[in-house]
Amino acid sequence: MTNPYIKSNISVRGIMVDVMISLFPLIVVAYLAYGWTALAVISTSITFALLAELLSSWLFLGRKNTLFDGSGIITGLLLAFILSPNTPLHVVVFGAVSAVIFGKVLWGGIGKNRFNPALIGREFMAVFFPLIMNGAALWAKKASVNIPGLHGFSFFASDVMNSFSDSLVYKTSGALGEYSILGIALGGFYLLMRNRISWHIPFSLLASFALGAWLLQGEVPMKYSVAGILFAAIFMATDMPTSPVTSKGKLFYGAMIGVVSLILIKTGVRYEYMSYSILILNGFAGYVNKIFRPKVWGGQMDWMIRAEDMFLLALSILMVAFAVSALYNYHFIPYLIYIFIVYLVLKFIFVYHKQLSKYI
Amino acid sequence: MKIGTPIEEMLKYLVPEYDDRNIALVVKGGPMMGTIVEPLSASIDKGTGGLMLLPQINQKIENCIGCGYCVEVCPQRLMPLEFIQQTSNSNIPHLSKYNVDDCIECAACEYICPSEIPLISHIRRGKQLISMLKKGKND
Repeated sequence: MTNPYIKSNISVRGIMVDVMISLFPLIVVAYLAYGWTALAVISTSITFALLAELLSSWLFLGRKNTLFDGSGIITGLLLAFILSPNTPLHVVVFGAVSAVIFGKVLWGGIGKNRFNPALIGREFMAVFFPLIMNGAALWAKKASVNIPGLHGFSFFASDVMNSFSDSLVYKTSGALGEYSILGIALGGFYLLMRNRISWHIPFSLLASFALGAWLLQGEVPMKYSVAGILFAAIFMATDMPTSPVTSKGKLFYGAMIGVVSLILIKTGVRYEYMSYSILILNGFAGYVNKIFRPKVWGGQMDWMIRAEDMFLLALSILMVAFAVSALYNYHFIPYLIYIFIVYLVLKFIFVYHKQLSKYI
Repeated sequence: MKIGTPIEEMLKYLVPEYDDRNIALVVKGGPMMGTIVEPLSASIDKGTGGLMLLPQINQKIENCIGCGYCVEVCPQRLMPLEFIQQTSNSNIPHLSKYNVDDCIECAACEYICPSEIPLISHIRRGKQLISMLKKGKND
C-alpha cells in the first residue's frame, strides 16, 4: 500500500453518467421531432450495444462485469444520434453490435480502442448496407415528422431573425442528434462545467472550420450541417480514449479535424465527412501525444524540433485525408473496412489477447 | 508529546477506543504523501508533522481511459499515464525520455485517476529500474 491514502470520488462510471446526462436533452428533442420512431432507433441501438457488450466481453475478454461501466450505453446512444430516424431497425442492430465488437471489445476492452466505437459502427453500416445507408431516401422522408417546426420567436423585428432563432432551438433536418443546436450546446456546457471535456478540442475545431469555410467560400455553396459539426465537436471528437491528453495537443487535434473535414467536403464527400475526419485524426492521436508533451518543470523545450514535428505530422494527416477522399470517390472505402476487420482480428489473436491484464 | 514516544503508546493514550479492526492504516504525515507506520512500535521523530488514522480504501482498478486528468494535475508537468506501460515493459529509454526521475511523488495523479490505477507504485518501480541501470553502467 503506497500513498495516497485518500481517493477522489471521480470514477469511470461517474464520467459515463455525466455524458448520459448531457445527452438527455437531445433524446427529448428527438422524441419531439420524430416521436416513437426516434425512440425505437435509440432504444434498439442501446439494447443491442449492451447485449453485444455482455456477450462479446464474456467470450473474448473473459469479463462478466463490463456491463456496468456505462460505456456500452454511451456507444449505443452516440451511434443512434448520428443515424437518420428512418434507418431500418435491423441495420441499427447490425451497427450497434459491430460498434461494440470492432470498436471496443476486440481492442481489449474499454479505454484501449484507438477509434471512436460509434463512428466505427456507422462506417460498418455504410459499407455492409450501402443501398440503405447512402440512398437519399433515408434522409428525405418528411412525412413522419411529429412537430415540423417551431414558431416561438416573434420579438425580433425581421422575420429572418425570428426563423433563424427558431432554427437554433429546433430544426428537423439531419441525423437524430442534430435537431437542436441549443440542446447540443447545453450538453456541452454541462460537460465543460463538470470538467468531462476541455474547451480545447471543440474551440479549435469550430474555429478552424469556420475560418476555412469563410476562406474557401465560392460560387457553389458547400453542403454541411452546422448542428452536425457542433455535435461532432462536442461529443465525438472529445471522446477520452481516442483523443490526445495534453492541452496543446488537443488544440492541434481539433484544428486538424476542422481542416480535414473541409478537404473532404470540398472533394465531394457527402454525409460522412465528419465521421471520416474524426476517424482519421483518431489514428493520429498517439502521435499527437508524443509530439505535444508538456514542458517539464524547469526543463528546456526545443521549439525548432517541435515545429518540424508539427509540420511533418500535419503533412501526413493531410496526405491521409486526400487518400481517403480519393478512395471514397473511387468507391474503395469497403476494402478499407475489410482490411481493418482482418487486421483487427489478427491483432486481437496475436497481440491484444495477451495484454488483457495491462491497464493501458 | 516527546520525541521518541512509541506510536503504539501514544495511540493508547490519545484514542482509548482504538481498535485495529476498523482502522486499518496509521499514517505518519499527510494523506497524500505520508508513510505508513510499520511496525506500530516505531517512535515519533522530529520530522513527524501529524498522525492519521485512516480506513483502508478498496481499490477497484480499471483500464486507463485516457482522460488526461493526471497530465492536467501534475505539478511537474509530466505525463504520468505514459509511465504505466513503459514500467511494465521495462522500457528504460522511454522512461528517461518522459522524465520519470522528475516526479516528486505528490500522488496528485493517483488521487484524481478515475480508473484508480496504482500510478505511484509504477513510478517508483520505474525510478528503481533507471537507478539499477545507472549502477550497472558504473560497475
